[in-house]
Amino acid sequence: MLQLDNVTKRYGGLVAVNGVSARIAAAQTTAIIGPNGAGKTTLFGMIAGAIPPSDGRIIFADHDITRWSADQVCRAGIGRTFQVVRPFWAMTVHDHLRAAAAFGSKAASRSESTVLSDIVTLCGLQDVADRVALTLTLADCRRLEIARALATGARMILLDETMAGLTPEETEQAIQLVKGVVAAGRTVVLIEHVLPAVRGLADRVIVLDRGAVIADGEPIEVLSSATVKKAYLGE
Amino acid sequence: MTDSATLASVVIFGVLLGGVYAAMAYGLGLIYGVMRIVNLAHGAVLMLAAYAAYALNTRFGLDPLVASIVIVPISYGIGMLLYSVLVRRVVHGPPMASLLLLFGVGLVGRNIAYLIWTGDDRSIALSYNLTTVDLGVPVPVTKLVIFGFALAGTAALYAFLHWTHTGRAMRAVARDPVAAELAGLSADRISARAFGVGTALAAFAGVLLSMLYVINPEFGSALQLKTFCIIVLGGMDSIGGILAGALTLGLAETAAGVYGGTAWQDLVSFILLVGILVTRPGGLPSFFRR
Amino acid sequence: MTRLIPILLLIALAALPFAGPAIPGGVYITRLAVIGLLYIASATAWDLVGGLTGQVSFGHSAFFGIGAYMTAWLVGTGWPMPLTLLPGALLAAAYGALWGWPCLRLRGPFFAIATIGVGEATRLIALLAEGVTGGATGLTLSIGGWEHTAYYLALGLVVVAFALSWLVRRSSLGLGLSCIREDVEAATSIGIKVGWLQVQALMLSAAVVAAAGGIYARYLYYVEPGDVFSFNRGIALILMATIGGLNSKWGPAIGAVIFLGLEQGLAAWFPQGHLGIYGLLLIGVMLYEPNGVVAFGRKLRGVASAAAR
Repeated sequence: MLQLDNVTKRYGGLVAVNGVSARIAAAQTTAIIGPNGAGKTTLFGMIAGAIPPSDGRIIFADHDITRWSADQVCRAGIGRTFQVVRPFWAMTVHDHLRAAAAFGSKAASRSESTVLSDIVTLCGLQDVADRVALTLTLADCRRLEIARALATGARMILLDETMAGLTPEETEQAIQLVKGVVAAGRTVVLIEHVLPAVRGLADRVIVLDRGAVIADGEPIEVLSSATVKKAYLGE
Repeated sequence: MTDSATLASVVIFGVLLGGVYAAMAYGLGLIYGVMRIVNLAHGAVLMLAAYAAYALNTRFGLDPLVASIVIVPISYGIGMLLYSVLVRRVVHGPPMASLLLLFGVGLVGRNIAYLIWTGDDRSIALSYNLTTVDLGVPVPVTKLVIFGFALAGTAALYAFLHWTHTGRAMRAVARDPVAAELAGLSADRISARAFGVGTALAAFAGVLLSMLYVINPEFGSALQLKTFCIIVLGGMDSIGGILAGALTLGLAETAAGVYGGTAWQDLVSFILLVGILVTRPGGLPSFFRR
Repeated sequence: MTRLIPILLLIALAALPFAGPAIPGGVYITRLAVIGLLYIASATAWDLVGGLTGQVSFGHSAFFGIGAYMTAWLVGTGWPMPLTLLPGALLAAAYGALWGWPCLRLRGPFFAIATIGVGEATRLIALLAEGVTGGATGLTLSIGGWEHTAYYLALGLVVVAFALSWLVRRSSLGLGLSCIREDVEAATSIGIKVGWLQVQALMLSAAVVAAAGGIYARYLYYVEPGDVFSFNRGIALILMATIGGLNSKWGPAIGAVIFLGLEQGLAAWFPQGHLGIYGLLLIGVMLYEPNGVVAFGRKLRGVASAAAR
């Protein structure tokens, strides 16, 4: 579904992402892990069209989206959340979803109110649907961002550290939510530091270190490998 | 005049104008660098300082350059006051709030000028105004003196930013406010001083400009736009960047005036301003960065 | 009941030119009302960009001037007055698209600065193009016609501006513009074409302001770059909308009425004094109630009803 060929991002002399290649199949949940500064969010930014790659190719559903802008990528079917939440602060939850449905992927059965209310239920936002984002908790904002990405009709959802800063209880809810998203037939790619969540969710784990892929495979295998432990866990 | 003599005069007058323009732009750049605020009251400060020089000249016969010894420190105080009474309360708000607030301050400033000096044109008569020096082309002594003071102001600002504690603190806040705060610098206190220094720099430039131009309450508006143009050209990176931007504008304006006519002279800054903003859409790098 | 107020107001305004001669000062009020209505329409249209989209434009004077001159020229070649507004509106919209497309990529203060440049450059060019604009001496319109043409066109434009603002706000365009105002990057992440949507808002806003300019030319029988392209026209719109209340249905209109009142009241006994008062109002609004008089009124009502309880 998504194919990365030698994707690279350089900022002057600094190489943030160095020749990452991977294929991500549909209906699979992939976790990207790695220490801070490994280039995970930059890689996400390039897939989402927010950051132009310096080199390499990104293919999504048979389209070369390497040079596409973020809004084009969204309309092609990739939704995302942000590492630091970025809701539309003065707008209600419901308006977030209406906007996402109105402008998102053309393939989506757009703005059908049943679809939107399903998303609201899935993300557990029923009680706050008419509140403006400014009044929501962090956990609610994270769920709102997932709901917003789903409402665009995206077939693939990029989740950037959805569980950071949440209480154990909220983390458990978030894991259930991601499972629900997968069950709804969407392909999920997530950046995550909460390793139990990675074990519980991912079909596959890609480890980035200093911009390059150092491991790629089944979660149990990858998380127990010596190189990964050394780079990531400092063991 | 021969072609080469025309060119020589364009270069000489362009550079002289550029020097004054640079002095005019430092204040705006410093305030933006330290607190990420575009000071739309900048033009009013230039204008009021020019009027102050005019008033001190007509009342006490003070030369504007002497008058600046009084005007600049007072402007520093006024800048600090503006910051602590008004700007501080919107500095962390949306950028529009500080922009419009300072625009309001500018309107009040213009009104003060109308009330005291009316809308009539004023100018300062200087005894040495008509004296010229031959540099290949005759150059008025006034312009040379003003250029000299503008350069002295540049040197003083450089020294302040690099060799004083407060100046270095301003550069630190400009580069990374969070890190500066962690290192024990109060961003609020530094911002207040930066606003004061920025206002004082603008006032100093206003005094210099009062010796070159006719003064009226609208005098600051056009100059403020030229200031934006310089900042956009020079990139707010550094004193050097602003100086380069100012010289570019000074030369471009002078050339346009000589080869195209005065109308073009006024248009140059707008064309440069919009053209550069549009071709560099990533926004502007900050003062002192990198 | 509250839904009836706009309709009653509209009926009263429609009757004003006929009632005018009967009430003391009525003729003066009718003349003043033309300006007031043009202010209301322009400020409401400005708010589509400045309030809804959150891009403060100092350059709307360019649109006003284009509309005024278009009407002046076309009336001179024998066009019927109301028809002249359309080409003016279209030309202004095109001009808006021309500079809006590159400039609207800028955010916040940088967009504002660019619009100052655009507005001033347009005025200077108009002043220089003496053959077309009459330069500093301007152009005189020599048309007769019904004395209340300008009044009713202005009233019609207010209706158009409100309808437009209402339609935009409840369409997906308005929704998208709100997203852009809140967070550009997040807006693109849900597929919003940020550039195109903002250009649409600017074009709509430009068209209404240009029509106001055209009606103004008919009202004054005279156009001059220093007046219709004046920087202060753009500033006036900012003041009306921000003092009244950015991004609100009634805010810009209320701000326009306040502005007109101050302008008239102060011009008499405090000439040149209005600038400072506007400045102080702007400072007060930014410090105490960034959402303007409308939000202040809402709060007062809240306090009153709480006290009554």
